[in-house]
Amino acid sequence: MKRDENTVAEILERHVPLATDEQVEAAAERVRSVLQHAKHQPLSRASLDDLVAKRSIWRRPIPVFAAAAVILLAVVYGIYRERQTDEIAGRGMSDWIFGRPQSRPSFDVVSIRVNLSGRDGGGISPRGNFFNATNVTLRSLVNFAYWPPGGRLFSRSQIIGGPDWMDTDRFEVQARVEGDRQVPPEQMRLMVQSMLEDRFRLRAHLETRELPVYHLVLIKNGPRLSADQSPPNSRDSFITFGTEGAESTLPRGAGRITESPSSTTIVGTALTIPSLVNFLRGGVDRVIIDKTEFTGLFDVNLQFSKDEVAVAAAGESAPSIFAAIQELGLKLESARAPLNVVVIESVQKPSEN
Amino acid sequence: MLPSPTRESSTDFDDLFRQHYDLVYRTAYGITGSSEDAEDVLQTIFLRLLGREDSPGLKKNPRAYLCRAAVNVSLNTLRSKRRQVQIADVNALRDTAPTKDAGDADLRHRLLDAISQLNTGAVEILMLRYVHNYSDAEIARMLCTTRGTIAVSLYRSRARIKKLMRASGEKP
Repeated sequence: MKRDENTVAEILERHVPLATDEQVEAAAERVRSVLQHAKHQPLSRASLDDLVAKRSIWRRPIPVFAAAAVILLAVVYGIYRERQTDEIAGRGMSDWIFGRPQSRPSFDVVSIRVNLSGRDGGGISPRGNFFNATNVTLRSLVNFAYWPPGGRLFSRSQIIGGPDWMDTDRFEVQARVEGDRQVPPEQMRLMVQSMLEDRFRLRAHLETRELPVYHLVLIKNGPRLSADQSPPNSRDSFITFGTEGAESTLPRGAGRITESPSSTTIVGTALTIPSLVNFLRGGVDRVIIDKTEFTGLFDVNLQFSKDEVAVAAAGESAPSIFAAIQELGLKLESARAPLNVVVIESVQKPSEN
Repeated sequence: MLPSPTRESSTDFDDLFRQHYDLVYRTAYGITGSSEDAEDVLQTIFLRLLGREDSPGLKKNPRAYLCRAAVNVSLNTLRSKRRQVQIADVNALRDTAPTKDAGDADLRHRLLDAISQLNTGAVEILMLRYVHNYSDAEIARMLCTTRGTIAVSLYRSRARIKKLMRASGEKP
């Protein structure tokens, strides 16, 4: 019994995660900037709740009525602004007042900083009541913000207009809603829309345009079915990004994209067609629409060139994505289809925190 | 024991943050195993403090108060993540933490899973012992209890972790 006890203690000593000094300092610096910004925010909803709970409105009539007057002015100004500008999707303050669809929610605290690291990698990770975007372009933020419910992220061709810096300048964005509640993804996206309008002065609208696309269709009998057709564990259905020469075994359902200077390799087992479409999206400049109606699971080991001109110049032998995909019994056919697009009317570099 | 700063001014709040961010972040990291979650916890706790007046607990013993707050928020984070459906999106996956060894990662995952099933008080003592390396006597002083109580809590927590890890397939 004592031996078991010692073993657990050893596991705790060895495996309880310990933060490094660098991690602690970097996190503290980021949080400090958010707190500095939060101190200068107008009275938040939570603070107002506290105020109402602790003090009678009649004991402090002047500040309360002054706050009410400010709110009323803000409402009137919001309606005025909305009628002056053709805001996206028509979800503005007057909607809330006149009982049309709900007003667009917004974050309580937002911090935006320019990232000058020069690195390429970045990502957006909304979790709980917190939105965190690291080293992302404005295009990525717009893509996340207007990501249609239940749909896929927009391809590059579906975000139209905007200045050049939209693809080159990188930003660090941290935003939060007060309280512990889990913010649903749809609401989080509306909050990011509000933030973009507020801080980047973004004006944009959604419309439908007929654009060139690729239809993914079956040739011959389609992909060869994987030997094991039992559904993989949903937790294993992830995409990982590999590096050449450092590749580990993947669970069923997972796939890995490995990029070399001239080619892309996709490896995975027990994949579905929607998973494959996800993998291929970065390899072509158009939206891929699944027209296969193929529901089985299949294995993929696919290598294709990134740029046929560059590959020819370098003497590489990787086929194009169009040739490579045919090895799986699939084909990309050129077509046109009506697609939702985001049209950027105007945008400015963000205001400082 | 650190002094007990009250938050009657912005400077006091800054002092409170400067003196305790390390404790809050390291505690949260020990429970969640994620730098982003730990940062979320740090931010959540101090944003809440901005929005309210100091509680007596914070004035009396800020270190113990903030440690308990970090444990509570971290456990909430960990438990809610267990319930969430993961969305396999390329952007979201880029922040997956690298692990140097698959076996260690699995063991750590099981350990965090077991810790998330303990009660708040037990996790607080575990973190003070294994993350901050306090002795039983120091923890007892900080939590205003006896050394024996701390020793018993640690013993019970280890036994429960052993049981939970065995149940999840790992033999510690």
